[in-house]
Amino acid sequence: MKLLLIGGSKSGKSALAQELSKALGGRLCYLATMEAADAEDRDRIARHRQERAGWGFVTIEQARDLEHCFSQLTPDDTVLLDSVTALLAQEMFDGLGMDATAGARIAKQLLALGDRVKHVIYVADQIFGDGMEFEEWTERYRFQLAMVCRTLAKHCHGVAEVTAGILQWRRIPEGLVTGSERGKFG
Amino acid sequence: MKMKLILGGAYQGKATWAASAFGLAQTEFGDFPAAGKWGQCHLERFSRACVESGKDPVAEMAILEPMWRSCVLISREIGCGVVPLDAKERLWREAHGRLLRYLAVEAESVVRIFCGLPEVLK
Repeated sequence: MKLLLIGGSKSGKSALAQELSKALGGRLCYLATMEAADAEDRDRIARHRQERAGWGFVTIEQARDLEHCFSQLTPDDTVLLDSVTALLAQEMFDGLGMDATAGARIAKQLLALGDRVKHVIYVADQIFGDGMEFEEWTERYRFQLAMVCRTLAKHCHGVAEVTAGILQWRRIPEGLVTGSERGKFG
Repeated sequence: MKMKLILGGAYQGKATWAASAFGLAQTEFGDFPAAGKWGQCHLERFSRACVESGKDPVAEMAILEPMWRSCVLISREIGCGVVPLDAKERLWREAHGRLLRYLAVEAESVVRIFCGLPEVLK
C-alpha cells in the first residue's frame, strides 16, 4: 500500500506517518532524506530521532540517488520516507545549477521504491498556499514539488492533508482504517 | 451549465481536474476575462490588475457577469500565507478573498483541488 501525507511545517505529518507505519506493521524503516546543512538542521534531525526512539524503526539515510538504498530494503518492509521535499531540493539544486529534470526522476524513483516494499508512506510539505510569487528558482521548485506530489497521488491508495496534527483523507485508503483506528486516522 | 468555482493552491491541478470533470479541451481555457472560453483561469491575476488600477474586483466582476455566468472559474487561493508588509499586496489579498466569497455565493458548485484530488465545498 502506498500512502501520501502532505502538510505544512510542524503540522504533525511525521508523527502521524509513524503511527500509520506501526498500524501497517512489518519491519519499520525510516528513510531519512534530509541532508544536514547547518546546526539548525542537525537539531531538527536530533529532535526527529528522539521522537521516533522506541518505535522500532531502522533508520536509513539517503539524501539523493534514492535507488542506492534499495539493496537495504526487503519486500516485507514498511517504509516511511521523510521527506519528498528535502529529496527534491537536494536533487534539484545539487551544487551550482538547477536540474530541471529532477522532479520527474525522483517521482519515478519514489514509485519504484513503493513497488519494492510492502507499504510506503511518503511525507511532503504543503508550500502552495500563499499568494507570493517567488523568484524563478523557487517557483520552479514549487512547481516541481507539486508535480511530484500529483504523480505520487495518482498511484497512492490513500492521500491525506495534515493540519495541526489532524489527518484528513482526500483519498481514503480502502482496508487500512478499521474499527477503533478510524477515529485516530480520520 | 451554471458557473462553477474551482479553488486551490498553486500548481495543484485545478485546470487539469476541471478539463476532465467537465469534458473541456485545453483550447477551451483562457485567463479571465477570455471571451468565448468555457474555462476562465487565474482570477487572482484579474483581482491583482483591478487593485493596481484602483478598482474593486467584486464590482468589476459583477459588470462582467454575462461573460462568466455559465463558465468554470478557476482561481488560486492566496490568503493562506503571512500577511504581506507591502500595502498593495495586502489590499490584493483582501480584495481577492472578497471576490472568491462573492463568486462562491453565485456558484452552482465550489470545488477545492488538493494534489490533483477534488474536495466539494458546495
